[in-house]
Amino acid sequence: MQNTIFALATGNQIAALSVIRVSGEDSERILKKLTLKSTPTERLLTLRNFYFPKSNKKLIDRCLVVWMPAPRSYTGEDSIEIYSHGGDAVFQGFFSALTSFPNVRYAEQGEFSKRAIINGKTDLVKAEAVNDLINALTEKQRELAISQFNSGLSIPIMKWRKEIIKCMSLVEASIDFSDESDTPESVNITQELSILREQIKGAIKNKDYYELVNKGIKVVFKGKPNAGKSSIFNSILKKQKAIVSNTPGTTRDFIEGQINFKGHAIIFYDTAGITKTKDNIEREGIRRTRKLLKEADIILNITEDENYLPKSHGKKEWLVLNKIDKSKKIKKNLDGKAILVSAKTGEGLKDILQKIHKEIIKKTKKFNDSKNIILNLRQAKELEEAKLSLTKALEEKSEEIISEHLRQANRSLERIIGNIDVEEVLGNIFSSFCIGK
Amino acid sequence: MNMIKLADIIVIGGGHAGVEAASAAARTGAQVLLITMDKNNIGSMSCNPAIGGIGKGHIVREIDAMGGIMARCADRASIQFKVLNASKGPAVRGPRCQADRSLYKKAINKEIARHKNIKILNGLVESIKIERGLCKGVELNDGGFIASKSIVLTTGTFLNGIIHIGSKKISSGRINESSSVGLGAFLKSLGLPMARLKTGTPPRLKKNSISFDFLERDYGDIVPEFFSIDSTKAYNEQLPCHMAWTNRETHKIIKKSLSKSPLYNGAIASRGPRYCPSIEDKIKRFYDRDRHRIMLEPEGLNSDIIYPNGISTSLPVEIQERFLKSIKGLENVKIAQAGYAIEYDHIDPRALKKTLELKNIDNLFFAGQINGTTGYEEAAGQGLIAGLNAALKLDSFGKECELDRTESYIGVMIDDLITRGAPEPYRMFTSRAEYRLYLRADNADLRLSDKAEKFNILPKERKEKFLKYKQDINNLKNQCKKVAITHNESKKLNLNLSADGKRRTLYELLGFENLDKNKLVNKYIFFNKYDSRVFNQLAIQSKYETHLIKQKASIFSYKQDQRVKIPKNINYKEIGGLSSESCQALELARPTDLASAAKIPGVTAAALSSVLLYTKKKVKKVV
Repeated sequence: MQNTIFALATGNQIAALSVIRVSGEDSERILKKLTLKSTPTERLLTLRNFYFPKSNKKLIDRCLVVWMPAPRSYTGEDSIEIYSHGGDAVFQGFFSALTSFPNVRYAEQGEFSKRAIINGKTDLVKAEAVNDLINALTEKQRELAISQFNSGLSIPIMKWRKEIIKCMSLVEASIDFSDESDTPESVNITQELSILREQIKGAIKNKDYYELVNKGIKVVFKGKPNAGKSSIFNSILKKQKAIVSNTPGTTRDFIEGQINFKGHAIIFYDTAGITKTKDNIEREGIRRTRKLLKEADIILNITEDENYLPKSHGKKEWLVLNKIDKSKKIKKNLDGKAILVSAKTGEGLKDILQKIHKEIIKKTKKFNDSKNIILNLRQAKELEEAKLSLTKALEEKSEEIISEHLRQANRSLERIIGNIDVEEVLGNIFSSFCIGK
Repeated sequence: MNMIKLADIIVIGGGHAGVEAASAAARTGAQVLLITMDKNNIGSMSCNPAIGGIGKGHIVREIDAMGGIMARCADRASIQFKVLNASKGPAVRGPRCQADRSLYKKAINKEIARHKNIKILNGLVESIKIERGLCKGVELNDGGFIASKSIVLTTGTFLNGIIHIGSKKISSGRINESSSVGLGAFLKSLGLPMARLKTGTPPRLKKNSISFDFLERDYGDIVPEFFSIDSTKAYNEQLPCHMAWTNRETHKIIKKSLSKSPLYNGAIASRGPRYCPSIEDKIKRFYDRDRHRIMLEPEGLNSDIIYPNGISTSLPVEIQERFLKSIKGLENVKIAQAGYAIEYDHIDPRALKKTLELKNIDNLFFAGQINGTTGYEEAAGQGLIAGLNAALKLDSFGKECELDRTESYIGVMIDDLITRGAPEPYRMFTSRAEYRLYLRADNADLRLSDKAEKFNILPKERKEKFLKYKQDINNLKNQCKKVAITHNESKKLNLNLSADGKRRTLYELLGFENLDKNKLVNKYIFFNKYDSRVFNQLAIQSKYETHLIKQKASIFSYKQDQRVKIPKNINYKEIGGLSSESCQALELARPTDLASAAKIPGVTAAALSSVLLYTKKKVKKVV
């Protein structure tokens, strides 16, 4: 059975709405399972609640959906389009809900168009016109992609492919020519594959730099309640965004604010102070804080009492001593260990920004080096697949299965550069299309 | 003049392709006339006395699964059974045997004789009569004409064959047999694309001149694995092979004489197989090797000839003798027949359809070495398909039997041949099969017997046996899937799996190598109802289960590309945006669908999209 595919048809920037397109035989079944209701009238926008499957009605979103049975849809297959609320989090919810069905996966590049063409719904010329339109709207991204393709990205991938093919041929030789005296009975490619895997791992890490530039560096505030996190937040953003009060636990959910500092995006997150509490809402806030802290590029650990400065902290965690305007005794042996600020007078806030800026420069240095490849999320996903295949190959003993894993790894790499792929030729023909179109 | 004036199907040639074609056609009930230059050579093994191997053994099993004769005859003639790659996974294990030449020939002739509807004629075909793109019959060199509905041409290396030994050139097909020049000229006159290839054989040695005591013995498997499902025992005494090794002195002699080899002095220009190099090639290309192995294979139980596998050569006889004598164990060797290289014409198989019928002449089929392949098994596999399809021409339903690359090695071979041609002699390798984990020697019947049955070429008793086997597999599989056991219980079966709290079905466990079969069968007695073949098959399926699911998905997308048909009369020059290289490649192969088109070297993704677009337009206009 052919897979049912889905993708975010709109860009993944913050917006009021996102359109998620689902196409394939399972579309109707999925729609019923997610909404726990009968199929809406075809081709009519209908309001529905979407729930996580088998979750006892855990809501993902309440939004409009349209059901388009075959052949009257873009792809010519049974399709649904979900007009969800915008933003990453909602889409992540749909992503995990949709991928929990068997035979459902995220669409490959241009796959909707591929299916549309196979089903005679459109032809290549029309599809190309659509593609041009999309490109015209995101001209700069396209430029970036092309420069990546021409310089940074394709070269190491070609090299890795060559290496995989070399390993494959060794494995194949040991299978097909094992009865000849000149070929080895078994092959050891562990070292080659390990090196390859390390290189790919390194490249996957670079994905973070891409996000750093594209989305901004994430700076998360952490600290005891009433340490003055929200005051610093407000002072930096120069807005009264977070409610400030003397009552500990005022900030319950995190608040996000972005500034542009010397051309770089910095996103600050003011969070709920971590403390023991019986308040359910505050507890949820703390849970969210913890999650955010994990994703942070920089954590500012804020305290108001120099005696409570934590003794140890993580690499990405910086200490900030607030309210230096109140205490005159400070500055003893603290230099270097903590940034001294006063949210009230504004003293020291610039130091924080300078330090963050330095950090961005440090982190993006690799990014600017043309030797390093920059991956967008799709490419990173393929590299992850390749890495996984290599890991499986390394763990496997049977040559014929190792060969399968290497074939998979090779295909993942080929998909990145859009080379011809024996089994999915058409998929490659249209690989220049935007995901979801 | 000949008595026979009419046949349903004429098969020209009595080699491995010819006999398999004749048998397949006869199994459908057709009247078959097999024309050969020498009746006594029907079923001859012209090269090494062995059948099967890695990839090749897969084909033999597939032939058996479709009711063919090669497997049974090989089992009859075997004097040593050995599964190659036995230490590797079941998908790449290849059954092989050393075959007694005379026993093999005898077995083949017996199989042919069993078919009352196969007649044999000694004769030399001069040309084929063709009227308005349809073949009508054959003209013999004695002036006789025999009409037939369809014709299968399996003339092997006999087309303009030239044998080279040193500077000697002999016009011939096999040694001591004449070559068919007339037919070659005729085929050329049809305007068929032709090419020239070469292959070689080693000298044959007199057994009693070899000092076997100095040589290491190489035995077959203790428990033989047969080619045919019908075989139950080894029919003959089993013999060992012996291993000899070349040495520096051998290499020196050969190196000095390279200029006398027609391969190196320019007498032979055509391409030989990369994977079957002559000893001259080996020494020139791998000059850093100290030695090369020679497998001394017995030619038969009562034969006094030994076949030294690994030293095919076309050096002058004196030099062959000199270098052989430098080898330990062969000091006093006597050559029974010198090694030689042979050059021959073959047609470019891109002129063929998947049924092996010529694209532009109806009812004329080609099979075997004439299509640019090498090897008995490859020839036989094609013979079966060509013979069957030639017979299917008899009724007017337009039925055809095509094997697909997703279901068989024979399908992979034919697909490769008709889309890529044969730039070098084509030999089967398992790496050619992208669905290798599914295309196994052990499940050839499960893959192909249903199809054979559908086309009525599976013997009746075989059909019943097969249906029961299939049913058994299903039943046992279901039973195994119903029983799920815990990690601790699996320990009692000698398994040491991760304690993840998951229950695993017996079917899942069957694939683990450490599983103690006896303990399993003792605990779950329903296993006793089934024979070990059923058990083993399930164990293999279980082992590959996750990969097979993936391959099935991939097969699906391949089949989808296959459904995009390219019109027969497409004019590639008309299509805008095709590079001349792509255009030429497509013109030559004229693929029937997009999946085949994608396989053609030189056809780019851009070219494919142009073809697709053009095809869609054409189809729309028709509708």
